[in-house]
Amino acid sequence: MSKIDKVLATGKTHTTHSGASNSLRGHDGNLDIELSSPGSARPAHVLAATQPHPQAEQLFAGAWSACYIAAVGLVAEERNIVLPADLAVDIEVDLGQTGKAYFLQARLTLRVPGLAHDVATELAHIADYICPYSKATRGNIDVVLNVITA
Amino acid sequence: MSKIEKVLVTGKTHTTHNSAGRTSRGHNGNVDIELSSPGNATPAHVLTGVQPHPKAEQLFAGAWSACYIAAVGLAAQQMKVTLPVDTAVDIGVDLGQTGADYFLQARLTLRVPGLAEGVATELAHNADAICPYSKATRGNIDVAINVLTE
Repeated sequence: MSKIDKVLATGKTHTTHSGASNSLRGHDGNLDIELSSPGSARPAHVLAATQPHPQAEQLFAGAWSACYIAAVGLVAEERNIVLPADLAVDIEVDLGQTGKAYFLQARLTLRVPGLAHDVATELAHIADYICPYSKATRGNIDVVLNVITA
Repeated sequence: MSKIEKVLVTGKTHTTHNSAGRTSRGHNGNVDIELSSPGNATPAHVLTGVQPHPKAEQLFAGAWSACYIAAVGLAAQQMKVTLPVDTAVDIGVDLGQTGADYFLQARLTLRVPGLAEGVATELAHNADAICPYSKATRGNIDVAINVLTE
């Protein structure tokens, strides 16, 4: 795995579970998508861009976060953890350069207001372990996991 | 790397270089995005969903293909190959299961009508070596690379 010396572009997304009370949609510019899940006809996740201009990195962050938030749900169910209604996942993906070569790196933030910090941290890491996007990039790109419980 | 036994969902995209003459936008449903590139104010690539319902896998395929088509441009420059104006990249990303575990796999198709098959194949593999999305998933997911020269 090569470290990035110079960041060229960052794609940022904010993903929540779909719900009638969701008020984030439409506040942003070019990317504001309700995603469907396998085996479910209605949109399961809402992806809102936190930047006005969509980049490839934003699409990737959106895909990863939709999958990651589903993984968080699976882990919480297994462990009888009740997730807060305002659960959200923020992912930032950087495109960067080291010398002339291009690489990616990512930061995942799980927002679970009200959960104990150690429970949230365990949840974040186990979700990362089962999420197929995390598996696909494991060992190949630098990934930082954060939790916010406040 | 684990092989997928059962495909749950596939995200397909069709990506071309941006130009005034393109006609494919708006023919599809939910994903039809002009992407910007680092250091470039005008949208550089056009991503069209070839499925009516956007899925996480389609976003990932879109991110990968926008980056891959740029890498094809770089590789063509290095190889002194002139790309056809109708160069396109089609990517399909599968979300699948092996037992209870979830994994991804992908198929990349480079469409370069008029190019010699050998040149197209070398171009496709050189671009795969450059593209940071290919690097990010290398060895972790199954990727098939195809070329179409007709």
